[in-house]
Amino acid sequence: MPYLVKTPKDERVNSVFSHAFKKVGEGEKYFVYEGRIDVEFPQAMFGLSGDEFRKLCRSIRVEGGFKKRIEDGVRIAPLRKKVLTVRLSEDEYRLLVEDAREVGLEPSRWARNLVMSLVEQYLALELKKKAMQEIREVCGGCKYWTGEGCGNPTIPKLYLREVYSGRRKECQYKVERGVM
Amino acid sequence: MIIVVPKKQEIKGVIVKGFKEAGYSLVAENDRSYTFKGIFSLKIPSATLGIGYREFVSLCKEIAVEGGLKRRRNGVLYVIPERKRRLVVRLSNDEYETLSKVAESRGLKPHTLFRETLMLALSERRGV
Repeated sequence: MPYLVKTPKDERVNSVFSHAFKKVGEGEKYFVYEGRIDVEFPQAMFGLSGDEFRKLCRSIRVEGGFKKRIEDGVRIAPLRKKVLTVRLSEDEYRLLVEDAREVGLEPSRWARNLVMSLVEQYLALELKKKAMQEIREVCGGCKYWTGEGCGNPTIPKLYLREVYSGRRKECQYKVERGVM
Repeated sequence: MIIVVPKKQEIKGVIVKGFKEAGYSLVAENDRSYTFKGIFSLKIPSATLGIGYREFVSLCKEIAVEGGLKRRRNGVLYVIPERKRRLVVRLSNDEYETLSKVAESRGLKPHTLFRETLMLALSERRGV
């Protein structure tokens, strides 16, 4: 579940937040953004004075997540209610602690960062593999199929997108290999 | 974890090279055995050693592990360190869902995938 961030309507805030979050709503006096991961914003990014920044931090509302003032900025992160217990050997744990110390994070947070970035990549690869399998089912045997995509320049892009996304199970432009 | 492997002519070169590639260091050597020291779990398939099944089974019996355990499943020897530490990690619903999805597709439990991925990332950072 993504978390929602409600901030006062300020162009300086919007220019920073729009890079990290997706804007999903807007009111007369506020913007609403949607986020999924931890984000840290240093005070310098906003170009605000100390008092203004403190005021901004106080006015930010986070739903399904939390905000926390850090040394020179603010951290916004999702609520983490699932607890995962992982068993490690003494040597494995020591290695993790040393590595976490090098980057200045707690071992559990560093472990989560390392693992989740790789797992996201695994998932993206698996989804891509699955999508390619589905495309091959539709395009396999077609003379325009290059192995990585469609090589027919006359097919409308929108149509092709429907084939690639799996919404179309058959392609009307398909020409069997060897058929003239 | 310390692993003592008997010295056998037919696997001499492969063993030292294989353990070094897995991040293990050779800490002692005598006429009868090699002693390796390392952190990560190991998976040693008989095919990589280039020996027959019976020889592999007898080799597995002779290998001694300190600070861990060995388990042979058919033609593969697994050497796993004793895991007594507990690392508690808090995840958001999204993160847990992603982890479970990938773990399920690989036939693993979420915490096993987490540990394996963590060890892979740490070993890569160490250049192993």
